[in-house]
Amino acid sequence: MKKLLVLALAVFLLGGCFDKTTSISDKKTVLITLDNATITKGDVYDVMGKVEPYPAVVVLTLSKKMILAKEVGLTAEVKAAADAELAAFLEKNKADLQKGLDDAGFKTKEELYDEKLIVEAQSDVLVSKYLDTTYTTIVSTYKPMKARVMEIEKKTDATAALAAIKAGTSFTTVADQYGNDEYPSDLKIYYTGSDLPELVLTFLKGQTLPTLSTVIEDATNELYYIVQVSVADGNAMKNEVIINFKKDATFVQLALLGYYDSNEFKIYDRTIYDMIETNYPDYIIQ
Amino acid sequence: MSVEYKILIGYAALFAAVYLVVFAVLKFSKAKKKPKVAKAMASNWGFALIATVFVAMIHMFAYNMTKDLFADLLPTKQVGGKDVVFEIGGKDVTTDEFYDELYKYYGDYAVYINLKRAIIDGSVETTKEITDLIKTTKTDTIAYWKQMAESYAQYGYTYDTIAKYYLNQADFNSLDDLDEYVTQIVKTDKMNFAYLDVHMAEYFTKFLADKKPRMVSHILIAMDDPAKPTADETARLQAVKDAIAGGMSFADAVKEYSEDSQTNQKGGSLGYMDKDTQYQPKFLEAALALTEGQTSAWITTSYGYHLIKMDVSSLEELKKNDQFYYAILNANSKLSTKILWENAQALNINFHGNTELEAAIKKFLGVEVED
Repeated sequence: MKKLLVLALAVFLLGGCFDKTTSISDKKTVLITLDNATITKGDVYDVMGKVEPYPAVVVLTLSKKMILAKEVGLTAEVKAAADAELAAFLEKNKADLQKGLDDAGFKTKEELYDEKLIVEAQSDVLVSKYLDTTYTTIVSTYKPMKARVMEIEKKTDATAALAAIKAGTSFTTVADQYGNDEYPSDLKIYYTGSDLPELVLTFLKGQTLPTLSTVIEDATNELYYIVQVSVADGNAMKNEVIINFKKDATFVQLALLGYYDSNEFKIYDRTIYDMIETNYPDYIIQ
Repeated sequence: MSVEYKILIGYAALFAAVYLVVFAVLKFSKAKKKPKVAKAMASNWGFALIATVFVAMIHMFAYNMTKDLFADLLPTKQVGGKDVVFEIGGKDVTTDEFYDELYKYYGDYAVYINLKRAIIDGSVETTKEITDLIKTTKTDTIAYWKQMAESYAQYGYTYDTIAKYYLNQADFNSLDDLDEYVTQIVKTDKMNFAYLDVHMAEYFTKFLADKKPRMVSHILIAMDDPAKPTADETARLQAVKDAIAGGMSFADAVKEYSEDSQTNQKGGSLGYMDKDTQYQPKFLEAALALTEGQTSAWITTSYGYHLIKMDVSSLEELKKNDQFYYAILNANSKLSTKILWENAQALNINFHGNTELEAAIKKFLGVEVED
């Protein structure tokens, strides 16, 4: 019997060591009183902490700022970028600055500067840093390459277009003549996740050298494509790829999650954990 | 390295350490009589080894049996006696720090929610009448949500999603808050209605002129296309016209002929309506034009032919219907918060010198703040 009691006590005590919703240290601090009730900081935290998903959003915003402070800091480069953006904002909103601030969701220009512009400038540096340090993996996984893609509606036009390119006419000139106006045919950096038809992506993935495709037929949509790869080796255009990828949401998120992982992001509050797991599951790395 | 390997190596290391000490004691001890325990352990080392392996295996078995039970448990952490919410890059954020950050975005509103609930609770005594009303309202609420869930099941709605939607609208977050939610609804109505009963003179005259509140009933002869009634539809319409022309009362005609199954057992009563009620234009226009006791001419809507009767429009009769009170509250956008503030003052609200919080709460309540 004694042993059972000791075991029960141990379980009871240990239960406090796991899986709890955290509380503030001064939860009994009184904010407002009425004849019938007292409203404390603890009461306020109870309400704030449960309005899904806002506590999760605040945790992620705060933790992101902490990563940025650690991995990037407040360098001259960051300040210069933020200053430039602030100048542009002030110029754009000079007729009514307060309205501009209100529309952007900030009360003062200092708040805009600290909470948005600095954070964006730091994020830019963070993503570049991530891409730079993991570039070999980025190239092998995402296969960035520089190419032109033309979309053509008729097969006869596609055949003629290919022949013209092979005869020496520039890709852009041929695209102007035969290509779909709404489809970009200028030289761009593409990768495995680019917004291209699957057949075109499959063709690109298979290339290791500059090349000109045959006419690629998309029978489902009755469209035809010609692809000209000018640089197939991502390692040969590192700076260009980084400048391009750091604006891509895929790599921004990849970089951020990479730093959450390397900085061992860990949540100790069950309510917050569940909220992040439900709404932002990629950030659960513990 | 897996946990099982760690357990095995741990026990092996423990065995080796213990026996290192045992043999060291036996070899280097200068006592005339060697310790009995050391001698016993040395001579039974084989048995000890088997026992150690056995215990290690039990430990590994216990771990494997329970690891899934504990896999999802979160550890807790404290720093300087304060709970930690999360850590990143080796830095901890305590709940106190998290509270301050969260407060910037949602703090004043969270205070307002707590205050509102306290005012409502303090302004309405929990009598037996209130308790009974809470019980019936809870039953009705659950039934209504279940009915909605059935109606919208094809769109993926369930009872839980419907319930959570309504709870969230009232700033509650969990199905466990249902009792509190219902209590708040019942007590809020009681508080607001009590205020309006006292202050009705301030609002009724203007409301009467603007909105024309009334209680109406109708008889419906349903038709697929009222512009082109079928022979049968025409016959049914004529039957009720003849009956009324022959002296049948409106109430009897409802019972006998009205084809609106929602109202024909209730004397045709549609309940409360006013200028803002979402009726089809012809119906609304005809209903608003009536005086008390008057019956309209036959009018058409997409449902068919209607005969409308204005039952009552006196204040005493209108006050018997909750929709009348809701309509006045809706017509006066700041009235609900005004009632809250007046009740807060009656409960001697005290901000304990926190002028910033006081200003924020007054802003929520639409109370003018003194400079």
